[in-house]
Amino acid sequence: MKNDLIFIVRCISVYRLSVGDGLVSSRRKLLAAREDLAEKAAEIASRRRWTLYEFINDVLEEAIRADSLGVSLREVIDERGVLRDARESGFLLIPARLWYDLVDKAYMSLDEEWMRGLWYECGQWYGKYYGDLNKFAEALKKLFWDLSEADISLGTEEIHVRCILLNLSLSYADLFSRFIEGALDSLGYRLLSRDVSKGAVSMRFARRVP
Amino acid sequence: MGVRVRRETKLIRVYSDLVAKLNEISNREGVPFMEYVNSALEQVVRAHRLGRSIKEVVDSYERMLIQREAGLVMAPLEALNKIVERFYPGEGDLLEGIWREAGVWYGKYLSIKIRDGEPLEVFRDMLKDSGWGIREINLERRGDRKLLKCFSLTLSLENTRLLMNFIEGVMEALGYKVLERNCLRGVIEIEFRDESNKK
Repeated sequence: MKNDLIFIVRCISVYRLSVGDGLVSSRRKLLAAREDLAEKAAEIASRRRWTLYEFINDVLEEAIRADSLGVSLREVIDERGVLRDARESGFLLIPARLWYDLVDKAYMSLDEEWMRGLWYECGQWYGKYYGDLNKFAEALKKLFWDLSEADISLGTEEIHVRCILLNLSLSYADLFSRFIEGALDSLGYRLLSRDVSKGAVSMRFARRVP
Repeated sequence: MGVRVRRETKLIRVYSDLVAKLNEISNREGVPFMEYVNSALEQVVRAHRLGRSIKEVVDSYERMLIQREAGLVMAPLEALNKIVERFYPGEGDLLEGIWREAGVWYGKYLSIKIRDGEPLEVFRDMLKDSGWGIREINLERRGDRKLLKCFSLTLSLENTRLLMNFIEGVMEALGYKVLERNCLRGVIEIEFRDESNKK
C-alpha cells in the first residue's frame, strides 16, 4: 500500500485560500490515476468549465466528505436513487411518530377490516409495480426505514418472510403483514401461515398453482 | 496539467492535505491508495452519466441521512390519503395539531443538526425530496419578511392543510414568527419574519 505513494512524486509549495479558514498553507502533490479515468475526468471538467486541477480536488474533497458520512462515493451513488424511487413508487416521507399515531388511531377507531384491506391493496399495488420477488425484497429493505431486519428466504416449495419492525405496535405489525401478503399475492404466492407479534412478523407462502 | 509517466497512468496535481486524508482513509479501508483514487474517479464518471455532479449526489445522500436520523419513515401515500380522507371531516383540528407538533419537533432537530448552512433552505430542499408531490418551492425575501410558496399538483386539500401545519411548526421551531398563511388545494403560502434574534 505504501508503495503506491511512490506515485506521489513531486511536491510544490503553494498557498491556497480555503473558505472559512483564511489563508491555509498547502503543498501540492502529484498523484497517479488510471489514464482513461483521468482523461474522462478532464473531459467532464472541461464541459463544466473547470480546470482539471480544480475538478479533481473537488472530487477528492467529496470523497473525504462521503467518508465522514460513513460511506464511500460508490455507496453514495448506489444509494442515490432511493428517495427518487420512493417518490416514483408512491411513498412519502413522514415523521414516524406522526404516521404511527395516525395508523394506530385509525386501526382502533375506524373499521379494523377496512384498514387491513387498505394495506393489502397497497401491497398488491407494490407487488405489481415491482413485478419480481427479488426487486420487491430489495425495495422493502431500502424503502422501509423502520425495518431493522427483513429476510425473504426462497426455499424449493415455500417462501419464508421474517421482518423485525422498529415500531412495537401490534396493529402496525398486523397491517404490515397484510401489506406483505398483498404484495406476494400479486407476485403469485398464497399465504400458508402468519405469525404476528409486537414488532415482529413471520409469514410462510407457497407458489400458487396456476 | 497532467504529466504522462507511462501508458496507463497519468499524474494529476492535487492538494497535499487532501492526499494525506485520502491516504489515511485508504489505509483504514485496506485499499491501495491508487485504487482508492481510481475508484473515486470512476464514481465521478458514473455520476456524470447520470447527469449529476458528485457534489449533488453527496448533498442528496446527506439529506437522506438527516431524514432517516430525524425519524422520518416512508409511508404509502395512498394509505395516508385514504386514512386522512376518513378522519379529517370529524377530526381535522386534532390532525392539524398533531402535524404542527411533529413540525416543531422536526424543526428543532434541524436547528441542532444543520451547522453548515441555513436550516430553512435545507428544509426547503428536503420538502422537495419528501414525496409530497411538491413541484416548486419558492422562498422570497420581502424586506424583513419572507414568503414561502409551495405548489403541488397532487396534494388533496386535506393534505395541503396538514402539510401547511407541519411547515408552520418547523418555522416556529427555527425561530420564525408566522404572520400570514393561506392555502388552496395544492398551494401553500406562508409569510413569516425571523424572530430568532429577539429571543
